[in-house]
Amino acid sequence: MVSEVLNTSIPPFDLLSHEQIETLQQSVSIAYFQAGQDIIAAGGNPEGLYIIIKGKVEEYDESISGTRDDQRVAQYSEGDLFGSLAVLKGRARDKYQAFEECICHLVPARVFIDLVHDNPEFRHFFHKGLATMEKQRLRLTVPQGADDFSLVRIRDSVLRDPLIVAPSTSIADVVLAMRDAHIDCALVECESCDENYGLVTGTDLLDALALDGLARETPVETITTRELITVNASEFLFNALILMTRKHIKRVVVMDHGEVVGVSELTDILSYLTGQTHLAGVQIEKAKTVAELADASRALHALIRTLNAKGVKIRFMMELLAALNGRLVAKLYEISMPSEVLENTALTVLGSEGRWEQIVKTDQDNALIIADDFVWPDDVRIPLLNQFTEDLISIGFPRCPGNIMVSNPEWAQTISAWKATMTAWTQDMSEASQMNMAISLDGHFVAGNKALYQGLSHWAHDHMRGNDIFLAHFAQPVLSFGVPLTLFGNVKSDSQGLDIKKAGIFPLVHGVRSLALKYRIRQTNTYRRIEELVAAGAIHERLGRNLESALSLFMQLRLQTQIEQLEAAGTDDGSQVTHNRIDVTGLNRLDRDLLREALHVIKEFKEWLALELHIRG
Amino acid sequence: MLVRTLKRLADRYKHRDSAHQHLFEPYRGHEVISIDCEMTGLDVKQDEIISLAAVRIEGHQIHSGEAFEAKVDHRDRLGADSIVIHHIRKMDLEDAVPMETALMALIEFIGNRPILGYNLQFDLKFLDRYTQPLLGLSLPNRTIELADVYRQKVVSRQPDAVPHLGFEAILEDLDLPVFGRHTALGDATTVAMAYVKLMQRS
Repeated sequence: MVSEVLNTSIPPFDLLSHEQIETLQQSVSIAYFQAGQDIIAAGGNPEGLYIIIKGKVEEYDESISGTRDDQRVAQYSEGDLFGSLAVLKGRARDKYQAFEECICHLVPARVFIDLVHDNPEFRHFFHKGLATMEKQRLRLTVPQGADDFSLVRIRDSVLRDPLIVAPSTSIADVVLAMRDAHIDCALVECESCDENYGLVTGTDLLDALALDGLARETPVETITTRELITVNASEFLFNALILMTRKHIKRVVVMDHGEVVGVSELTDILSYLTGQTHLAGVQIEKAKTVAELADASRALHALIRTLNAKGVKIRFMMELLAALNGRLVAKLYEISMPSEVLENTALTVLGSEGRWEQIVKTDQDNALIIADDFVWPDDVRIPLLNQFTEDLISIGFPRCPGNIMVSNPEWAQTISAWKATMTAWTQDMSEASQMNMAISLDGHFVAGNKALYQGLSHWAHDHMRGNDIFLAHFAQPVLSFGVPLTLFGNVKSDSQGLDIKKAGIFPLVHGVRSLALKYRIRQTNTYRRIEELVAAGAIHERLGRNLESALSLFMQLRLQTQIEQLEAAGTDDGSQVTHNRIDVTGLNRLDRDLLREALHVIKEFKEWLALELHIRG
Repeated sequence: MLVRTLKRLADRYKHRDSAHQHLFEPYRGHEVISIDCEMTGLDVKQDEIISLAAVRIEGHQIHSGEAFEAKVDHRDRLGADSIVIHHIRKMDLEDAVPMETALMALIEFIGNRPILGYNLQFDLKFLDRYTQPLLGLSLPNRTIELADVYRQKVVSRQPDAVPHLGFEAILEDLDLPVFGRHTALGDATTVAMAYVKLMQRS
């Protein structure tokens, strides 16, 4: 059942005052259009703003030469608004036509213009910018009263008063003081330390007494860690969490204006964020066996659901999950490999894992860099690496369909062999070689000997320098899929939904990757690449912001779909996530508006990129 | 219909110098008013109209925002007992106005434009019962029965068809969204929508 009155509880009408709503409601009419009828003629003066009650409308830009399909710039469906721009400009640039029988609410032009004139917030809504719309979306999706967790700062959440002890305090007294204070660490006064304090933890004290055989009376300064890992009190909680996960530490010292003001414990942060005491990060660090890692990995799914339900920003979620997944892989490598292997190899995660953009583990992409002088006989290496790949699968990283895994000898090579391979890739210019190069450029070190990874990474970026011909070829695939600006298409044939990866994520990520290569930006994360591209003046700030918003939206919509798919399949196995398709008709109006806008950003980005990198579609 | 026509002629003569004279002027425009009444029951002699709604149709547009809608409070004529007899709930009487006020406003809203409804004669019989004692007339406007329009359109397309003329059946066949059902304004709007679609079809 539909209502004869306009629903004013939804944006943008909820921005109006009571009197304005009254005026609006009294002026609204209901208009009927047959399929194929023009609702607003191109160049015409529109009757007003339309809100679709039933049916679908298509927008055509007739100044574009080509077929009807080329001219179609947007499609609107139930709940969508159209015609606002035409009313405000007094003239329609595009033609709006009923694609199927259509019934709309119609707000007369003069009433709409008055409302826009009188209400700045309402006016702002129609100055369509993706960032503005994103704010609108947040207003809707974050439940009333719930904190936006991604905006919580340490100062306001999990700051503990520090326990401060003199350097001469005995180990026994420190243990007692810590027990009284219910805290698992103490700051030790230290004039020669950078922050005027050192740190001693419960584990340090235990090790000193039990393993090193120190006396209970030993002054604590002998076992104090002098270099503190600190964060600022105004830092976002999430960033502290990510920092702890990456450095695998359990606490950070919190500073304010150069002074130590407290400590934050990992357990406190995780409890604060998830409202549950299950400690994903801690569980990973504690794991000693593959089975324990598998348990820790499964626990991450609950974390993903909780964070998603709490409206945590997708970018923070991606970084957190990437850090946790990275630690899972690293930990498995560390418990699987003998020490000489750890010293002579560098394990790297690639692709979306390397970019920190995988939330649900849909596949594993990894490679191994082996020191040139490391003697590692085949009969030792091959079974070890095969077992590692199998173990990764068993802890929840599905097999890579493209076989980009260390068990494949092509992805486990010595440094010299890697250099030869990459040189061949850049010269060969086949599509497969370019994708291999793309995946490798997103590589991120996770375990083993980092120097090996850094050496090869430097070489690769130097090697690519100034290779414009390669660059143009490399970026080419960005243009290979059209942007589906008609969200709903022909409803029947497109019942599978919109492929968000082809339509949005791939062109954006690969386009940014190509630019990063051109401007020698070493970051692998797409957001960070965009930030540095903006800083380098390579892309305009506005485009950068729009790209970030678009990527977040695509990722958010995909995550939602992935979670639904997993729930439908009753599993946490990411390999069951079989497609990247979004059910567009199931989205609410604001998400559809955002998606439409985000796809326009992609379209413009592609056009701009084609000129910038001299590529042709 | 013949009876109505005769009545109209008689009323017109009677009101030749009255304030309601304009209602008898022939209408020359293209607008139509869709009306609907909600009653306490189906008995034309016993039951009461509890709400009235009218909405103006202009071409493909239904002016729902400036629609007419009134709830009727009968206590002045029938006494407070009518609430019990007719099962009118208290909430039905909030913002309600006396029948005379509602009728005058409705007639003012409609003017001399044609009126549209589903099973319109039934609603008109109810209205007559109030307009005759109060104003000394029956609504003189040209009437358009949705079921007739529908039958004509169906028959003109498929001469052999025997259309179902029930309200629900018509709406289902036309595949239209149903506006707030069983409220006078909702039904008047739904009827208007069906009419607009039928008229655009030809």
